[in-house]
Amino acid sequence: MADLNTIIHQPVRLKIMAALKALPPGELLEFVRLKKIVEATEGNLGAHIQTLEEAGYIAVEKDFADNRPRTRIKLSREGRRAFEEYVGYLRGMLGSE
Amino acid sequence: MDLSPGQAAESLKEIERTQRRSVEVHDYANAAPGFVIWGLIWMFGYAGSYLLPNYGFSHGINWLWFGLVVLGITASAVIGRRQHRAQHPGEAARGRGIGARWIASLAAFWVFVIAVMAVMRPVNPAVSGAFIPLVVALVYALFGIWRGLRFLLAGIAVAALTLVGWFWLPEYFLPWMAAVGGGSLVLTGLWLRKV
Repeated sequence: MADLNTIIHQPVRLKIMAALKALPPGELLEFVRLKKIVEATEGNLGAHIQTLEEAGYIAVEKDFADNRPRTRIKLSREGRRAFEEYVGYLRGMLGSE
Repeated sequence: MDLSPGQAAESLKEIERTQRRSVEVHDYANAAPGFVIWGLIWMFGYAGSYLLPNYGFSHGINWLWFGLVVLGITASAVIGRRQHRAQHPGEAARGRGIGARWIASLAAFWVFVIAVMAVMRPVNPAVSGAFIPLVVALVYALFGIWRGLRFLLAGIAVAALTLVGWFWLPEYFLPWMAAVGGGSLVLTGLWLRKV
Protein backbone atom coordinates (compact mmCIF):
# COMPACT_ATOMS: atom_id res chain seq x y z
CA MET A 1 0.00 0.00 0.00
CA ALA A 2 1.25 3.50 -0.88
CA ASP A 3 2.09 6.00 1.87
CA LEU A 4 -0.47 8.46 3.19
CA ASN A 5 -0.24 11.80 1.36
CA THR A 6 0.38 14.16 4.29
CA ILE A 7 0.01 17.27 2.13
CA ILE A 8 -3.61 16.40 1.33
CA HIS A 9 -4.37 14.83 4.71
CA GLN A 10 -4.29 18.15 6.61
CA PRO A 11 -8.01 18.98 7.33
CA VAL A 12 -8.26 22.34 5.54
CA ARG A 13 -6.25 21.14 2.53
CA LEU A 14 -8.40 18.01 2.38
CA LYS A 15 -11.52 20.19 2.13
CA ILE A 16 -9.92 22.39 -0.55
CA MET A 17 -9.03 19.36 -2.64
CA ALA A 18 -12.45 17.74 -2.12
CA ALA A 19 -14.27 20.95 -3.07
CA LEU A 20 -12.26 21.34 -6.28
CA LYS A 21 -12.51 17.65 -7.19
CA ALA A 22 -16.33 17.86 -7.04
CA LEU A 23 -16.35 20.36 -9.94
CA PRO A 24 -16.07 19.49 -13.63
CA PRO A 25 -12.39 19.03 -14.69
CA GLY A 26 -10.59 22.33 -15.27
CA GLU A 27 -13.29 24.45 -13.65
CA LEU A 28 -12.15 27.50 -11.72
CA LEU A 29 -13.58 28.19 -8.27
CA GLU A 30 -13.53 31.70 -6.82
CA PHE A 31 -11.57 32.18 -3.60
CA VAL A 32 -14.60 33.72 -1.83
CA ARG A 33 -16.77 30.71 -2.69
CA LEU A 34 -14.06 28.27 -1.65
CA LYS A 35 -13.79 30.13 1.65
CA LYS A 36 -17.50 29.56 2.28
CA ILE A 37 -17.29 25.88 1.38
CA VAL A 38 -14.18 25.20 3.46
CA GLU A 39 -15.26 27.50 6.31
CA ALA A 40 -11.74 28.78 6.93
CA THR A 41 -10.42 32.26 7.59
CA GLU A 42 -8.95 34.16 4.65
CA GLY A 43 -5.37 33.97 5.96
CA ASN A 44 -5.59 30.29 6.84
CA LEU A 45 -7.10 29.41 3.46
CA GLY A 46 -4.48 31.48 1.64
CA ALA A 47 -1.62 29.65 3.41
CA HIS A 48 -3.01 26.21 2.58
CA ILE A 49 -3.66 27.21 -1.03
CA GLN A 50 -0.02 28.22 -1.29
CA THR A 51 1.10 24.82 0.06
CA LEU A 52 -1.08 22.99 -2.45
CA GLU A 53 0.09 25.23 -5.29
CA GLU A 54 3.74 24.59 -4.39
CA ALA A 55 3.01 20.86 -4.46
CA GLY A 56 1.60 21.31 -7.98
CA TYR A 57 -1.86 20.09 -6.94
CA ILE A 58 -3.73 23.27 -7.77
CA ALA A 59 -3.31 26.28 -10.04
CA VAL A 60 -4.15 29.81 -8.93
CA GLU A 61 -5.29 32.46 -11.40
CA LYS A 62 -5.52 36.13 -10.48
CA ASP A 63 -7.33 38.69 -12.61
CA PHE A 64 -9.87 41.52 -12.44
CA ALA A 65 -13.64 41.15 -12.78
CA ASP A 66 -15.84 44.24 -12.73
CA ASN A 67 -12.78 46.28 -11.71
CA ARG A 68 -12.22 44.12 -8.63
CA PRO A 69 -9.32 41.77 -8.04
CA ARG A 70 -10.38 38.15 -8.27
CA THR A 71 -8.55 34.98 -7.28
CA ARG A 72 -9.66 31.65 -8.72
CA ILE A 73 -8.37 28.17 -8.12
CA LYS A 74 -8.55 24.94 -10.06
CA LEU A 75 -7.34 21.42 -9.54
CA SER A 76 -4.36 20.42 -11.69
CA ARG A 77 -4.10 17.06 -13.42
CA GLU A 78 -1.42 16.10 -10.90
CA GLY A 79 -3.71 17.19 -8.05
CA ARG A 80 -6.62 15.18 -9.39
CA ARG A 81 -4.46 12.07 -9.56
CA ALA A 82 -2.98 12.64 -6.09
CA PHE A 83 -6.45 13.12 -4.60
CA GLU A 84 -7.77 9.96 -6.24
CA GLU A 85 -4.77 8.04 -4.83
CA TYR A 86 -5.41 9.54 -1.40
CA VAL A 87 -9.08 8.47 -1.47
CA GLY A 88 -7.97 5.03 -2.64
CA TYR A 89 -5.60 4.86 0.32
CA LEU A 90 -8.42 5.71 2.76
CA ARG A 91 -10.73 3.13 1.19
CA GLY A 92 -7.92 0.62 1.37
CA MET A 93 -7.70 1.26 5.11
CA LEU A 94 -11.35 0.26 5.37
CA GLY A 95 -10.88 -2.76 3.15
CA SER A 96 -13.30 -1.43 0.52
CA GLU A 97 -10.76 -1.29 -2.27
CA MET B 1 2.14 8.61 9.61
CA ASP B 2 -0.25 5.98 10.94
CA LEU B 3 -3.97 6.26 10.37
CA SER B 4 -6.65 4.18 12.06
CA PRO B 5 -9.65 2.82 10.12
CA GLY B 6 -11.84 5.16 12.18
CA GLN B 7 -9.81 8.21 11.10
CA ALA B 8 -9.91 7.00 7.49
CA ALA B 9 -13.70 6.67 7.67
CA GLU B 10 -14.00 10.16 9.17
CA SER B 11 -11.83 11.63 6.39
CA LEU B 12 -14.00 9.95 3.74
CA LYS B 13 -17.12 11.38 5.38
CA GLU B 14 -15.53 14.84 5.40
CA ILE B 15 -14.71 14.51 1.70
CA GLU B 16 -18.30 13.54 0.93
CA ARG B 17 -19.70 16.45 2.98
CA THR B 18 -17.38 18.98 1.35
CA GLN B 19 -18.06 17.69 -2.16
CA ARG B 20 -21.82 17.88 -1.61
CA ARG B 21 -21.44 21.45 -0.36
CA SER B 22 -19.18 22.36 -3.30
CA VAL B 23 -21.68 21.06 -5.87
CA GLU B 24 -24.49 22.88 -4.07
CA VAL B 25 -22.65 26.22 -4.08
CA HIS B 26 -21.70 25.70 -7.73
CA ASP B 27 -25.30 24.97 -8.74
CA TYR B 28 -26.69 27.89 -6.73
CA ALA B 29 -24.24 30.35 -8.28
CA ASN B 30 -24.97 29.12 -11.80
CA ALA B 31 -28.75 29.08 -11.33
CA ALA B 32 -29.07 32.51 -9.68
CA PRO B 33 -29.15 34.68 -12.85
CA GLY B 34 -31.77 32.38 -14.41
CA PHE B 35 -34.10 32.86 -11.45
CA VAL B 36 -33.77 36.66 -11.77
CA ILE B 37 -34.38 36.61 -15.56
CA TRP B 38 -37.46 34.37 -15.36
CA GLY B 39 -38.76 36.29 -12.34
CA LEU B 40 -38.66 39.50 -14.36
CA ILE B 41 -40.33 37.74 -17.30
CA TRP B 42 -43.15 36.57 -15.02
CA MET B 43 -43.53 40.11 -13.71
CA PHE B 44 -43.83 41.64 -17.19
CA GLY B 45 -45.91 38.76 -18.59
CA TYR B 46 -48.50 38.54 -15.83
CA ALA B 47 -48.70 42.33 -15.45
CA GLY B 48 -49.17 42.65 -19.23
CA SER B 49 -51.85 39.94 -19.25
CA TYR B 50 -53.72 41.78 -16.49
CA LEU B 51 -53.38 45.35 -17.72
CA LEU B 52 -53.78 44.61 -21.44
CA PRO B 53 -55.88 41.43 -21.52
CA ASN B 54 -56.56 41.47 -25.26
CA TYR B 55 -53.32 43.02 -26.42
CA GLY B 56 -51.00 40.74 -28.32
CA PHE B 57 -53.51 37.95 -29.00
CA SER B 58 -53.74 36.78 -32.56
CA HIS B 59 -54.90 33.40 -33.90
CA GLY B 60 -54.98 32.02 -30.37
CA ILE B 61 -51.36 32.93 -29.69
CA ASN B 62 -50.38 35.35 -26.96
CA TRP B 63 -47.54 37.18 -28.64
CA LEU B 64 -46.61 39.06 -25.48
CA TRP B 65 -45.77 35.81 -23.69
CA PHE B 66 -44.24 34.31 -26.82
CA GLY B 67 -41.85 37.25 -27.11
CA LEU B 68 -40.98 37.11 -23.41
CA VAL B 69 -40.30 33.37 -23.52
CA VAL B 70 -38.03 33.75 -26.57
CA LEU B 71 -36.25 36.57 -24.75
CA GLY B 72 -35.88 34.42 -21.63
CA ILE B 73 -34.51 31.43 -23.54
CA THR B 74 -32.01 33.63 -25.40
CA ALA B 75 -30.87 35.40 -22.22
CA SER B 76 -30.51 32.08 -20.36
CA ALA B 77 -28.41 30.64 -23.20
CA VAL B 78 -26.16 33.72 -23.35
CA ILE B 79 -25.65 33.70 -19.57
CA GLY B 80 -25.03 29.94 -19.48
CA ARG B 81 -22.38 30.35 -22.16
CA ARG B 82 -20.77 33.32 -20.40
CA GLN B 83 -20.66 31.42 -17.11
CA HIS B 84 -19.01 28.47 -18.81
CA ARG B 85 -16.44 30.70 -20.50
CA ALA B 86 -15.63 32.43 -17.19
CA GLN B 87 -15.24 29.12 -15.37
CA HIS B 88 -13.31 27.42 -18.21
CA PRO B 89 -11.12 30.01 -19.94
CA GLY B 90 -9.86 28.82 -23.32
CA GLU B 91 -12.76 26.43 -23.98
CA ALA B 92 -14.84 28.61 -26.29
CA ALA B 93 -16.07 25.71 -28.41
CA ARG B 94 -17.50 23.88 -25.42
CA GLY B 95 -19.09 27.16 -24.28
CA ARG B 96 -21.07 27.26 -27.52
CA GLY B 97 -22.28 23.73 -26.75
CA ILE B 98 -23.47 24.86 -23.31
CA GLY B 99 -25.47 27.70 -24.87
CA ALA B 100 -27.07 25.29 -27.34
CA ARG B 101 -27.95 22.89 -24.51
CA TRP B 102 -29.64 25.71 -22.62
CA ILE B 103 -31.71 26.59 -25.68
CA ALA B 104 -32.60 22.92 -26.26
CA SER B 105 -33.59 22.34 -22.60
CA LEU B 106 -35.79 25.40 -22.32
CA ALA B 107 -37.29 24.84 -25.78
CA ALA B 108 -38.14 21.23 -24.74
CA PHE B 109 -39.85 22.57 -21.61
CA TRP B 110 -41.94 25.05 -23.57
CA VAL B 111 -42.84 22.55 -26.28
CA PHE B 112 -44.06 20.27 -23.48
CA VAL B 113 -46.15 23.07 -21.96
CA ILE B 114 -47.65 24.03 -25.35
CA ALA B 115 -48.42 20.35 -26.14
CA VAL B 116 -50.20 19.94 -22.78
CA MET B 117 -52.20 23.12 -23.41
CA ALA B 118 -53.21 21.87 -26.87
CA VAL B 119 -54.46 18.59 -25.38
CA MET B 120 -56.06 19.94 -22.20
CA ARG B 121 -57.53 23.11 -23.80
CA PRO B 122 -57.68 25.39 -20.73
CA VAL B 123 -61.01 27.22 -20.37
CA ASN B 124 -59.32 30.60 -19.83
CA PRO B 125 -55.79 32.09 -19.86
CA ALA B 126 -55.64 32.10 -16.05
CA VAL B 127 -55.60 28.28 -16.07
CA SER B 128 -52.43 28.36 -18.17
CA GLY B 129 -51.14 31.07 -15.86
CA ALA B 130 -51.47 28.71 -12.90
CA PHE B 131 -50.44 25.50 -14.63
CA ILE B 132 -47.06 26.71 -15.90
CA PRO B 133 -45.81 27.95 -12.48
CA LEU B 134 -46.89 24.63 -10.93
CA VAL B 135 -44.82 22.73 -13.51
CA VAL B 136 -41.89 25.09 -12.86
CA ALA B 137 -42.30 24.50 -9.11
CA LEU B 138 -42.25 20.75 -9.67
CA VAL B 139 -39.01 21.01 -11.69
CA TYR B 140 -37.36 23.10 -8.93
CA ALA B 141 -38.57 20.74 -6.20
CA LEU B 142 -37.36 17.60 -7.99
CA PHE B 143 -34.00 19.20 -8.71
CA GLY B 144 -33.79 20.39 -5.10
CA ILE B 145 -34.41 16.92 -3.69
CA TRP B 146 -31.23 15.78 -5.44
CA ARG B 147 -29.05 18.86 -5.62
CA GLY B 148 -29.81 21.45 -2.93
CA LEU B 149 -32.30 22.46 -0.27
CA ARG B 150 -32.68 26.00 -1.62
CA PHE B 151 -34.04 24.73 -4.95
CA LEU B 152 -36.55 22.59 -3.07
CA LEU B 153 -37.64 25.57 -0.95
CA ALA B 154 -37.98 27.70 -4.09
CA GLY B 155 -40.21 25.03 -5.64
CA ILE B 156 -42.40 24.81 -2.54
CA ALA B 157 -42.67 28.62 -2.36
CA VAL B 158 -43.65 28.99 -6.04
CA ALA B 159 -46.26 26.21 -5.78
CA ALA B 160 -47.69 27.56 -2.51
CA LEU B 161 -47.90 31.16 -3.78
CA THR B 162 -49.54 30.04 -7.03
CA LEU B 163 -52.17 28.03 -5.17
CA VAL B 164 -52.82 30.85 -2.67
CA GLY B 165 -53.42 33.26 -5.57
CA TRP B 166 -55.59 30.77 -7.43
CA PHE B 167 -57.87 29.77 -4.58
CA TRP B 168 -57.97 32.87 -2.38
CA LEU B 169 -57.46 35.74 -4.80
CA PRO B 170 -58.97 34.56 -8.11
CA GLU B 171 -59.91 38.08 -9.22
CA TYR B 172 -56.37 39.31 -8.68
CA PHE B 173 -54.58 36.16 -9.73
CA LEU B 174 -52.62 37.77 -12.59
CA PRO B 175 -51.31 40.80 -10.62
CA TRP B 176 -50.65 38.44 -7.69
CA MET B 177 -48.47 36.24 -9.92
CA ALA B 178 -46.71 39.30 -11.38
CA ALA B 179 -45.83 40.72 -7.96
CA VAL B 180 -45.52 37.69 -5.71
CA GLY B 181 -44.73 34.89 -8.20
CA GLY B 182 -42.24 36.91 -10.25
CA GLY B 183 -40.96 38.68 -7.15
CA SER B 184 -40.29 35.41 -5.34
CA LEU B 185 -38.22 34.15 -8.29
CA VAL B 186 -36.17 37.35 -8.35
CA LEU B 187 -35.62 37.15 -4.58
CA THR B 188 -34.68 33.47 -4.86
CA GLY B 189 -32.08 34.39 -7.47
CA LEU B 190 -30.60 37.04 -5.18
CA TRP B 191 -30.69 34.57 -2.26
CA LEU B 192 -28.82 31.94 -4.29
CA ARG B 193 -26.20 34.50 -5.32
CA LYS B 194 -25.40 35.14 -1.68
CA VAL B 195 -24.39 31.53 -1.00
